[in-house]
Amino acid sequence: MLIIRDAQMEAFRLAALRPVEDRCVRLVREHWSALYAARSEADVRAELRHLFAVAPRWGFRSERELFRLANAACFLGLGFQRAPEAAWAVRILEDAGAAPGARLRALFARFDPEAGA
Amino acid sequence: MTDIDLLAVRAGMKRARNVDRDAEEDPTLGDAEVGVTRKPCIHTVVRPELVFARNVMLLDRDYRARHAAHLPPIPTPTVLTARFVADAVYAGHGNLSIAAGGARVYTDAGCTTLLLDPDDGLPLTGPHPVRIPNAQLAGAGVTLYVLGGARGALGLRLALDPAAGLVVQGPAPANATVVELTLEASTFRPSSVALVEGQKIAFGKLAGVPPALARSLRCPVTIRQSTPQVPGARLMLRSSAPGVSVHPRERASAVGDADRLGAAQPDADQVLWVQGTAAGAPVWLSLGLELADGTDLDHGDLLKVIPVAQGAVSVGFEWEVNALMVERHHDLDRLRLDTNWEGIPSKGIVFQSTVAALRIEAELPQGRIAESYGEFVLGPAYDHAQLEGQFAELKRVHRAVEVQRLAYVRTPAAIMSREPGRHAEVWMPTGHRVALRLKGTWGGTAQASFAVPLWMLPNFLARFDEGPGDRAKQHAETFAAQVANDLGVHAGREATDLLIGLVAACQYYVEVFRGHPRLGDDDGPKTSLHVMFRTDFHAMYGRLENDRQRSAFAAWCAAHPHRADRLLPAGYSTGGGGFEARGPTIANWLASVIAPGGARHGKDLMSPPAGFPDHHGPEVIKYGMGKLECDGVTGNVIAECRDIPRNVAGFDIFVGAAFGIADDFLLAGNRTWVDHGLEARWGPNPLPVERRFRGLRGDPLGNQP
Repeated sequence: MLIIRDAQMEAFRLAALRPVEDRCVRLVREHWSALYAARSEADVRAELRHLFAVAPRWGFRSERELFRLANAACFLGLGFQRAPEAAWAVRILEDAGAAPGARLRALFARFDPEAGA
Repeated sequence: MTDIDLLAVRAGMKRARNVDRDAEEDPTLGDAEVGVTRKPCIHTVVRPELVFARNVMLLDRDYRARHAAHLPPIPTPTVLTARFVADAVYAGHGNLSIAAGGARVYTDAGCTTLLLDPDDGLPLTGPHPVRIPNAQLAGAGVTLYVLGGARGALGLRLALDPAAGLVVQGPAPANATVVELTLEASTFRPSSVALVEGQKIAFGKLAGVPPALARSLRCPVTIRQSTPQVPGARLMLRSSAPGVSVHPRERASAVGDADRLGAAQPDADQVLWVQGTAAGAPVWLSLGLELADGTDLDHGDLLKVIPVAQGAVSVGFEWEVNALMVERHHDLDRLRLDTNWEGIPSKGIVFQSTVAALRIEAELPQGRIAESYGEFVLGPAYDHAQLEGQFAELKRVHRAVEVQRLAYVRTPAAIMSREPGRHAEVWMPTGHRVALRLKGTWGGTAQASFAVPLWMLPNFLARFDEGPGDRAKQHAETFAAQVANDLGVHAGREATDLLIGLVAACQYYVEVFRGHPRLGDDDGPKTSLHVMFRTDFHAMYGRLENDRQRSAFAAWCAAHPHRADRLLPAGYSTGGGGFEARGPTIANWLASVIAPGGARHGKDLMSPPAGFPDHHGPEVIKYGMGKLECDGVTGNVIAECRDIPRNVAGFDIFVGAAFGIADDFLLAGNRTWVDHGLEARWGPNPLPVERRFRGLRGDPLGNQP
């Protein structure tokens, strides 16, 4: 019987995420360049991988969900999930009671002036 | 947060919302889960399976292909199962190949149909794999039968075609060891030669089936240790039908001589001895291997054995005692001034025992008729009991004469005149008294006359005449080996032991005569022969069984290397008139063996009379070579050993020599007294004292005056 170890599974997962990662790097370059001009691509990629590592636990799994999550992370600040002051955002994103898209909309609503953010 | 910061946040959020909104609708973004997860395998694995029923098989010597006409059995094949195992439908084919060694793979248990490639029709070989159709490999698979083609390791592989959507595992191996078994057969002693394959398989080895109480000449077979050896395995000899037995001893009388047929033997070199038990069709003697688990692999090697009825071998002896005068005593009618005695005509029988085959004949010294000496003629004896009885009777006469140097006997039948023109006249009537008078010491030449099967002659000649006889045996066996190896070219020749016997007999005369200096003796060529055939050669030729054997003999005659030479190139005296002759050419003589021609009364040119005068001149020599035909009852060839190879200077020496010869040539039973000492066996004089004294005046041998 063929046995695939965890390390091999991780290698396969990273390979599968690579196209999503590339697209998100373009996202940063095209829409968030001013904010992250000082950070290298490798640094950005490292942050994206870290985000994508926790994303499945929050329920973000598809290419679309991961792209939208990365976009939100760029707004909140890459690496926000590790920052204690952004714990409120993590709580919204990991709320299993709502669909990923609904959670993103709830996140953005916190900054809506009309909603009193 | 300052106003500027707030503006920046709002700008960033607006961007983030726009991007998010666009992404929500972007058709280029997939909705399937990204990454990998562990799931049960959905691919079907297909694996080949190739299994030998056992990991030992016999080497096939391919006798059936090379000697197809003789239908030799094949070795026990080893079963091989080939199939694939899959959980889903698999439509691929298998490819069977030989990875190591050699093998022949058949589709039937009888190994008549080779497994062939359906594409090119070729069988499986080392460089040529064979495709096996899917349908055969499915389910329980295909059963194949394998014979080893090369000694040692054999490796087969079954590979499967790849198939989309299926995981096809690599080739399945099947390994076995091919064991070579060797059963060698030899010609008969004393100079045994291993038979070539054609003799073993096509022509076979004759095994004599003796009459009741008689012995047969056993044929040696050598079992070789198997190669490579299989731990715990044993060798096994079997026969395809009754008719032969196999023994650990050459002689039947030996202790521990039980039949070993069907009994497991240790896997080591050993010699066993084959004999016939019931005449009939040829049987296959086969050497097999019994594995430790009881599995029998048969027909590892073969020998065709032909059990033939063996005419009882007999032997008779003649002992000339030159000092034993055999004469008519003229008590009252003195014939000559110097003696009262008169010689008896040559070959006149003066005594015939009533209890054993013993007679006394008179012999005349050359050129003299006034005195004659005695020759004891014993036999024939077919077993040791008869021989002992004859010698007991001889001893009785011997002792009767020796005690007082004189005894009387009476003629059992009239002795006829030997004078020219008076052969019808009675020279001495029946019951006439003849004196046996010893005037010197016992001693003289002895001869032995045998009746032996034709196929036994090579052995017989080599035994009694080590030089020419052995060369004749080897010549005949070499010829037979050539014939056996030339089957493809000379189909129809048949090198059976019968043919070898006839060739050896003819070649023996060639060997003797060609190497002999001029013969001045008036008795003709026979004086150079140690073994003289009393049976003529054409009669021996008549013992061949079929046209194939006769054709083979004719081929030998036609190819004889000295066929243009005279048989006796140094010449010989023909006696009487001083004629010289050199005999016929070998070609003419051999031609007369096949076809004597009517003028010679069925005799070949070296079997006078009547063949002798054709090449000899006007003098007819009697008592010659080839006077007789084969024994009318047994069909045996009668041959005379003209000088027992010992100086027979006394009764005990004669007995010892005679029984030694009888032991060698198959007389039945066991001798009982020679080994224990002659005098001990004979004990005191068997005749009472009064009889011995009375014999001085009368008849010590019991004949009434």
